[in-house]
Amino acid sequence: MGENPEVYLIEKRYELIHSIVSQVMRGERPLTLSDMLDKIFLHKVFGIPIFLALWWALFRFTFDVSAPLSDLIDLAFSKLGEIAMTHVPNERLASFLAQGICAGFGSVLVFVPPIFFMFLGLAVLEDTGYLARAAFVVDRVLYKLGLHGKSFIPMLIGFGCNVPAVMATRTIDTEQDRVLTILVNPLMSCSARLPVYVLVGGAVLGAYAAAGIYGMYLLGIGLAVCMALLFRKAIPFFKAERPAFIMELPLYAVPTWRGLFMHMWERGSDFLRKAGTIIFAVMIVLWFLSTHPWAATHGGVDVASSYMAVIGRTLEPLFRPLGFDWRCVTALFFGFLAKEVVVETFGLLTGAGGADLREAVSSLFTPVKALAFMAFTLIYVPCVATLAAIYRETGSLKWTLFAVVYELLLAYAVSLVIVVVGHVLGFP
Amino acid sequence: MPSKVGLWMRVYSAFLGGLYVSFGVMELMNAVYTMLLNPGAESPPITLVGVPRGDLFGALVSILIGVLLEMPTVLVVTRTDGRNSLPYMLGGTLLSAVFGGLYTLILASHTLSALIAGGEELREWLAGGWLTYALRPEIWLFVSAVPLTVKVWLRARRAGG
Repeated sequence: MGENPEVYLIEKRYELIHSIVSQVMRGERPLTLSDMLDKIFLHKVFGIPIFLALWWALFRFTFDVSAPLSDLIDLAFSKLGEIAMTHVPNERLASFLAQGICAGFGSVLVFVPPIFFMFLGLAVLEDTGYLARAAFVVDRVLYKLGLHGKSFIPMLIGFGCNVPAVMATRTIDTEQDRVLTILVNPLMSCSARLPVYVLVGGAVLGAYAAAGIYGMYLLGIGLAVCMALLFRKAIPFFKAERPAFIMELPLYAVPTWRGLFMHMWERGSDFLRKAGTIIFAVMIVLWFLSTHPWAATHGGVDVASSYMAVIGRTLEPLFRPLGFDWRCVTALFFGFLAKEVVVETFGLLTGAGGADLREAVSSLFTPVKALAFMAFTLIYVPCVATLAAIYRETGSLKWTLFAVVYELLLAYAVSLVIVVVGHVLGFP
Repeated sequence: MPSKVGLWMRVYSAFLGGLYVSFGVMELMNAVYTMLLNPGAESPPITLVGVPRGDLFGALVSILIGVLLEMPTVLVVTRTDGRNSLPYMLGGTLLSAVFGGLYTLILASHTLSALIAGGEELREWLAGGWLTYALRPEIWLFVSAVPLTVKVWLRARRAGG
């Protein structure tokens, strides 16, 4: 009959259930609260707008409500840096403690509140049972656009971290759908990119920062869908029939505080662990590169004469059409190790932290260039850990390299389009 | 049938929906003007206190809430009501509560930020900066919607648990 046996069996099972229910019940079954909520959340017309509205609420909650806590952390690290500079007699050690540890660590840790707030918001959506509905609503669109409904969960996990997201594609049945989902997954904006958006968006876009950040998330989703469609049409490997998406919707529930905080901590603490290990190690290397040769940089003051500047200046011509100067290029270069490092690199390059860092960064970008930079950060090469996960899950060097190359080209093209369109519209 | 809604709930919902749509359209006009037509413009076309100058997505959400609250009336007019009014009201009041609560939290967080910053920032905030956030239409529309929200949710729970 050409029908999927799994779908056929499920349809037959529900037909039987309906026939039994109609025999034992009379009249119209009263709608439960769950039925009524499903009527609106799974609505053909309103389902997607409601999903986008709740997503927007999540971003305002993440960005605006967490701000005072970030301010407090920033204040604490600025004071610590000042204490190190005034009380440590050894110049090199003082520079390491103030610029390397306090400014570097502080510039990353100020993003702990927004990340924890984002995971708290996601936990609310998940524990109430809404997230499964969102998967169902989005499946209709995903299927039409070339992705499998089961891709939604890995994509959603990708908003937290792309590494577990790539691993979560194991739930997808066919090899073609799995590889396709892995390839587009890094376009989902992980929590490590959020600090970059918050810094650059907050510094340059002012009152429009939240809209700019939300726009990046939408851009990531849009690009993932477009690339999936393109790959599906252009690459013979992906031209296969897709099985139907079947999922059991959980009941709606009132979340408990304990459950919410547990979910938030489980996911958010990954960022803290990363900050304490990889980022700390990278920070020491970056401090060395930004302050040495010690004599040439006049004791780490003149970053423009450092090894780091040499790397940035070498790559700068490639990025001139996008309007990125050597400092932006250097930040992107080291962001390949972990995206949070972009923020830290800006801190070292500008010698500023917290509110001063925002001011320093605002002088590097116009609003259009800031959007182009944020888009480039969203799209270009995923971090080392994600690349390793892609290699492990696909078992193919070819697909791993393909991911690197297509994302670099796409990042460049999208950023260029933003800059050109911005200029055409009259933005500086 | 308990999942059906009475006349006063419909009228109340339609009235609130109209207000949401009106303020949403005002916010949309401001956003389009300051973000697209005249980027960075100091004064938006609608200078009503509380109506933000450039919140495009916020404007669209307000319009969405308004449309959801208007739907019960639309269903009566088009004679397609059946048992569909209550779900729309549930959706509308839920989003109204989410965004009313969110903007209240944003007001609180900005107040806290001003207190932490102190100095000039705190003086500006106390001198009237807070009014822009406190008078955001979605906050007082949410407060006005509380009786409807309570009634709609109680009705829905009673309908089937």
